[in-house]
Amino acid sequence: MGVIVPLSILLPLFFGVLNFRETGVPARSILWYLLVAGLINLLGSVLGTGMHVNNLPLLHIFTAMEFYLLLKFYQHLFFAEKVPVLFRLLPLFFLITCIINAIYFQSIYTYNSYSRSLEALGIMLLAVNYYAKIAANTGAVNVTASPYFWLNSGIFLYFSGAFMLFIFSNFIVAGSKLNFSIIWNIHAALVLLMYLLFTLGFIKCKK
Amino acid sequence: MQKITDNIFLLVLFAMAGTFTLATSFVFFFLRYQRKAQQQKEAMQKAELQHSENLLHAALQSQEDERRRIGRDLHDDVGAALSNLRMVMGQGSKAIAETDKDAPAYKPLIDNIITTVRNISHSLSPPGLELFGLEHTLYEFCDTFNTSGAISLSFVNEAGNRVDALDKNTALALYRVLQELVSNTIKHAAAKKIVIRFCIENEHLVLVYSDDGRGFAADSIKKTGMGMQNIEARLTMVQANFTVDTSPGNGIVVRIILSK
Repeated sequence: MGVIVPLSILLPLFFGVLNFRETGVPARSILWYLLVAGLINLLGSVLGTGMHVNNLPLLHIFTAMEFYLLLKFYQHLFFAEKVPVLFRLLPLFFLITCIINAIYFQSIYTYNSYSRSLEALGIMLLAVNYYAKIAANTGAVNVTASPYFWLNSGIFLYFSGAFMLFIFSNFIVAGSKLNFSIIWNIHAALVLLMYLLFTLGFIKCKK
Repeated sequence: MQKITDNIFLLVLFAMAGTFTLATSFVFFFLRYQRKAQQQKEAMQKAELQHSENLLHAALQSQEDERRRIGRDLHDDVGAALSNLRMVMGQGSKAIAETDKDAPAYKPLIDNIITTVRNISHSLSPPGLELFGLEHTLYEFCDTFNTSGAISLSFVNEAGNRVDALDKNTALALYRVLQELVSNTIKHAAAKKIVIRFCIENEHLVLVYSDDGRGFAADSIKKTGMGMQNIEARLTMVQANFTVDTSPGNGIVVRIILSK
């Protein structure tokens, strides 16, 4: 899992780049997200495994970036023209929350369970909203043909599965190493599922 | 206070499994709902299409019935009355000639009216179609047309018995479409020659209508015009496809492909 999952990111990236011309603007946000996730993962591995340095500060940065990029994805999906001010300001609010959390509550050298849980909650709400939107608008359209359905499902299933892990991560860290390893392997499986659904989404981008 | 001894690891595991199962079920039920909604909508669209096809069929059928009735009345009543008049004129020609010096001119005039009435009656309801089949009717149509017009109309049957084997509705639909096409050619094409040809292509019976008129730009075909709409409606009713090939100065070729 430690090698397969980080490498599996290449699969959606490959199909995303291959069908780049046919991918819509929302799907490009996911491409950026994958690129950022891949780079942070690589850097984390170099720092953690290679240099034996605490790489958790990267997670704090990644959390804010991840929220921003996924929010962009939903922004393009929900609002064709005018984006409400509140939606525009959401990444800024979240960034401030992350900074306050890192300064006053959870140091950058510990797992940022508050920010990640809050992020997961927000993203899950947006994902459910998207389902509601397509259920209301396109009752007769085959949704499985839409790339956005698969991209959204990837995000929704990953964050739903990992939500509890984000909340209780610090408790798990405090427990046995075996338990920690099992839980994070399950997390890796969820990531893999998300990447596979992203891959399907990018394949569906091809007209 | 009672000490909590629950294993946090197991609780997290259960919580993760629970939320993941909920989310997966949500997606699954969403997909099922969508599929059902799609099937319902498709069924509704199909029913609507069927209904409008039925309406169209009924409209065309009542139009045909009306034409048949008018054609029969013209032939049986007006035609018979004119024939009687012609006979009376023939019998009393001497007496009439003595009182009216223009009388000799009446007979050809009446003959002319009789012919016109017969032509109109036949055009409204081709009597030979049911009795002798489409091939005979089209030959007759050509003969009538060629005696009266400046355009030459020819009919070629390369499909043998397949033409007369067509069912009544299809034969009538093709006859009406040909009438419409010929009428269009007369009105707009300034053509000298029209050819109607039946042939077999890949086991399909194909009717090719062509003229050597001035043609028109293919993209200017008005499918909204009554003529074109009639043609399309009638051919749809008998499950036939058609293509129109035309360009300025090159006449027109309409290919009607009937299902096997």
